[in-house]
Amino acid sequence: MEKLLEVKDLTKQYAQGSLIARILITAVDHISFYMNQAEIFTLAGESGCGKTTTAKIVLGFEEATSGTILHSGKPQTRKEKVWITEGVQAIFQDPFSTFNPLRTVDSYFFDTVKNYQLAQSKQDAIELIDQKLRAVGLTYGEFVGKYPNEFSGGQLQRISIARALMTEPKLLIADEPVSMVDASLRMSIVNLFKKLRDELGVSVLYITHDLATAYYVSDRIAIMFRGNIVEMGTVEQVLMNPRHPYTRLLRDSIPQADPRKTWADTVTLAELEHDEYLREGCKFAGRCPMVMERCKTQIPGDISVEDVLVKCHLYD
Amino acid sequence: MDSQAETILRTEKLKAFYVLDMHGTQKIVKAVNEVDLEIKENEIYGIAGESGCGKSTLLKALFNAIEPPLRLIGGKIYYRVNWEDVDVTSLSPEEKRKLRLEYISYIPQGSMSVLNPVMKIKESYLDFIASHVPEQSRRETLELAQQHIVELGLPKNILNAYPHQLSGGMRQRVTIALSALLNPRIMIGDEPTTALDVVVQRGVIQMLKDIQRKLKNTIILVTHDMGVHANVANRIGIMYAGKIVEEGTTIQIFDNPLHPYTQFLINSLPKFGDKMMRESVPGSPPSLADLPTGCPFHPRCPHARDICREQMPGFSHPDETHKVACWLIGEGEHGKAS
Repeated sequence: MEKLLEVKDLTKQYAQGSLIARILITAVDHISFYMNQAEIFTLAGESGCGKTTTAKIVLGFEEATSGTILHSGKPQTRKEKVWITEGVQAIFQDPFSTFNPLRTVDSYFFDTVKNYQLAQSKQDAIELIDQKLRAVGLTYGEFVGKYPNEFSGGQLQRISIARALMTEPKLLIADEPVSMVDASLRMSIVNLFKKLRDELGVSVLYITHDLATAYYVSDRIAIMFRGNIVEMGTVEQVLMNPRHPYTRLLRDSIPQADPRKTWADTVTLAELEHDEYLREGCKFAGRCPMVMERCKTQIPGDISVEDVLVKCHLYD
Repeated sequence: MDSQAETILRTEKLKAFYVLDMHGTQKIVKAVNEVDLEIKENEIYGIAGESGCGKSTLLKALFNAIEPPLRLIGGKIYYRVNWEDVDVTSLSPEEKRKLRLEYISYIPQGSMSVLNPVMKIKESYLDFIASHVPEQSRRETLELAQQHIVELGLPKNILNAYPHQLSGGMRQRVTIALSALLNPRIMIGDEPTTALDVVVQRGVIQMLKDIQRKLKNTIILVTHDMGVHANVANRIGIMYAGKIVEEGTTIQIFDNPLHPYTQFLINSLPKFGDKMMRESVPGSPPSLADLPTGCPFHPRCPHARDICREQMPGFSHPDETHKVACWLIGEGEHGKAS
């Protein structure tokens, strides 16, 4: 089957500092992954691991330094932005800054209708908007003429998902869609992604640092660390039986809602972010509990262990 | 937790409302509505609830920082200072100022807006110390600051850094270190870890726990993340629409949540190894300016009955340390409370 999205050897470098003392930070370092149709794929990691940069490149907001991106087999270039945005839509982290506070939220929907010529008359447009809103559990009547501040964060996030669905995209790119939403309301958003996958066949690239919702919702997952994908496979394999020491650290750091399972050992935090990016060899070597001599000098390769991709010298 | 421990902070029927004057019409936001708290010495007390339930306002009131438009409508706040209950709302501004940092300190959420961006961390330290211990020389103060930083396991050279040079987690740890500087008896944290990554959050919480263990003081921690509460709190109060609706030890709250709202809060969290369908709390929190009659949770409650729509329930005590305000409890419909 043809892959919906294929990312090959993607690299993005940013220059930092002045002209003279310039250093290159590799935000995304030769990563490759693919997405199938009707699949939820998670890119997980901490801030500064390159997950948002990856999303921006796939959306065409940023240009890659090198590497290729194929949408259903067709290469993405800068000129063809329109068909990309028609098939790929984005949902952002903070629903309150997604919408201009001085504009009614419905105006965004009518803009989308106009920009993509989705309806011929206003009546058709309203019907279409109502249909999309119903998919996220709202109706046109309860939303028309209202300003963003009249909705709760969870409602507004669902509205922005409905807006993204207007063009009938194949792929939704959701960058931290629940981190600004209350924990008690997160599940309504996450359940919605499941529903879209199962009923409309939409794929979701779910970008998050919250491994608990990632486990709950996704089919496959990639763990990113300082620009690299360090572990990739099905969620069951990666999260229930983590192989890379970083995945283990990340998993163990999630506060469990169980007072009997508290953290026992202490954790070492990162040195300055900079140092980790510029590190030779494995980027995690500075904090890894199982660090070996060669980790400090040699970059580990992508090793396949029972269908899981692990970037670690422990599995050579 | 020793139940004989002394109460260090107590509120009686505390009511703090925002009174807003909008084009001639008054709008009253009932952010803290008849809250009774008894917080003990040497414990971590967690306050949980959704955004907009009044948690942050309650903290402001506990910190005795009630400023317009927030007004104290009724009730009392007592601190236990030198074995005596002091009603802090009647203190003069100078007396209030003296209590801050030395007796009670505040850890804010956004560490970027706390530290002055054009001042080195060192200068912030000097400012803090000079305002409370004026007779020290600059060198002595710097030594004190350095010693303090090292004791808390932070690198010494951050004193010479500007806030933007530090990572978010490091900045948050610096603000916590600052608030612990004068060994306060009470530390209040308003979502101190919410904006942080999981690994960094773990480091920050570890530091908070270490400070508490060392100073044997009290930490009042507000967050909506029940996972954090399970990890650090000794006792938890669940807040809904300006009221505490359930309070108990952490074990009681997680093992035997009695209020339907608490049950929703805990059951809506996904767990590893369990892909069972989970639901959010239905509906959204009520506006504090326009509260429903009776129990404020009744429009979202699956067990709501006629009495819930008419009257606010009082507290029933299924256990000595466990109290809950719900009409279902006390009549045995929710099963016998253990």
